[in-house]
Amino acid sequence: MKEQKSSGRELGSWNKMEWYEELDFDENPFGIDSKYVGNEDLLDEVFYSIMSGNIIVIQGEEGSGKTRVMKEIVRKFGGKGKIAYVNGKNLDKELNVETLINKKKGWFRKNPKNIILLLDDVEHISEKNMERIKYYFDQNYVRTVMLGTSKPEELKLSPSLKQRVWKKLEVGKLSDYEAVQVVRERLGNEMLTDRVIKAVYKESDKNMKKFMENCEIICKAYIDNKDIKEDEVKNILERGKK
Amino acid sequence: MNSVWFRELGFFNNPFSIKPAIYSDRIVGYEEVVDEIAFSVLNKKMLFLEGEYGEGKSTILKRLINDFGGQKQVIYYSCNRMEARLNVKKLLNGRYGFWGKLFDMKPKDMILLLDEAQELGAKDYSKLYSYYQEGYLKSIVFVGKEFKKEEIDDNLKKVSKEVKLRKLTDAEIVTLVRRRVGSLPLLTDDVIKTVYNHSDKNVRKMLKNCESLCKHAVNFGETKISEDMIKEVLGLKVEKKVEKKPVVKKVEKKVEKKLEKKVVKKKEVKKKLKKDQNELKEEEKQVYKPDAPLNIGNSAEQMLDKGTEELLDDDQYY
Repeated sequence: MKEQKSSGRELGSWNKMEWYEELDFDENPFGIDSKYVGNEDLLDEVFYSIMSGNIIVIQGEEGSGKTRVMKEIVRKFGGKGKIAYVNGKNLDKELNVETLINKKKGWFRKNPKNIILLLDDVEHISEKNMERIKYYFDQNYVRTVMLGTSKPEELKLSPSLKQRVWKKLEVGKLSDYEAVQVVRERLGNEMLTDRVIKAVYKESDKNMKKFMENCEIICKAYIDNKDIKEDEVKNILERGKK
Repeated sequence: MNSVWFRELGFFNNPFSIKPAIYSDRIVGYEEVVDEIAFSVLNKKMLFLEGEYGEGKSTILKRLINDFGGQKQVIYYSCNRMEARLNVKKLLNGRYGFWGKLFDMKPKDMILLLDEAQELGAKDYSKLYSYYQEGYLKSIVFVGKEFKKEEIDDNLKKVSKEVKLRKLTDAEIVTLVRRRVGSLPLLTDDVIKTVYNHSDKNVRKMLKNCESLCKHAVNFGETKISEDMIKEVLGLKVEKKVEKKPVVKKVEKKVEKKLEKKVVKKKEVKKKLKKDQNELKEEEKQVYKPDAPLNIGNSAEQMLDKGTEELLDDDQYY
């Protein structure tokens, strides 16, 4: 599941350095997945539900890290054709679990069992369509189902599926300290001071996606100005967005 | 992750799993319902089985498969499975596999078990009835929450019966749980009964609640499940004893006060414990350890691989 972002160079600009290359990184440090920090309780609960075989709902705002949790699952349990990840936004037609299972079948293997089904952005899938999952869950083709939504009000589950849901989990916001840890994980200890990172985290409304984007802007500014102070963060971010 | 509660208690899989078994002869209660269905199947009649969600309709069907299956005479089909409409011809042909589809072979005297049949329309019913009259289907068992009775054929109504599921009694619930868990000292009979009453007398809800109770108890290292814990885990409001009776004897009052004091003391101790734990957790969080690995190891993956392989083949023919 490692996303390798292409460096995006065009023919004319081959001699230009990307900002992260000037800082001695091979790849964009904010584009790679690194260790998961914070929300350990949530991870434990999710792993437990996979072990015991339950349906689980994960709620959280956009960019708060639902997909990140799913990636963590893929990282831990994946690799043997046992995980199916579907994003509700990208579906052309309706969700069809049978074809999903048959894809994993291969030539000589029998029908696979105990697949872990990860559904992201469920609010785009209709209620009736979701009910199809029930049969496969009951027959043990699907071991666990995880439903991720950013809009829990729009999520409509049929009563029989609702009864099967084990728990509704909320992705919490990271504390300032954990936010610092996330950045340290990617950049190392020398760049940027803790105070600056905390200020950036405040400016981005404690939203992880925004936070990562803003960190990039700050890092670009860091190339010219080696000691950034707390007060300057706001100005730099405003300039960077333009 | 190695210490999941059911592994610690000695079970390999979650004993309170809400998935119905594939086929089993172990069924608690509902003996009379099973008898009635079997009677109507042998007499070549239809049957409508109604019941709430999570009360064991599907489990009864599994029991029927166990009774009548073996010679590929039983077709089990869940109408929820596909987006498309119920296609009886395809179901019948599928019994002979590839050659059945080629030469349009149809078996006779099949027993059709239709799960989740509440959404069937008038067309489906008339089709099913025609197949029934031609002798391809011996009998049909419809299972669902509530049927649209206006859409059912009059002819079909004549040869059919209706059965409604009752709620299980407390004693039956205890045996049901004991079959799954055995004599687990954690869960006493009284606890099972109170949990059943708190979960609206619904079996599936009861199983879920039992699971969360056991998980909570094992995680906190307790050997007994108290009433306070049940209330805490199930999210019930702790009832405050407000007595509006004007005349209460003094002796009783004293006793009550003592009891209340004891309860308060216990609560305080618990709160302190919780506070301590919370503080501990916070301290742990504040320790900065860049290189320490998160608790992601191989162990859980390995345990998954061992997993349960004993279950079904794809066939809906038994």
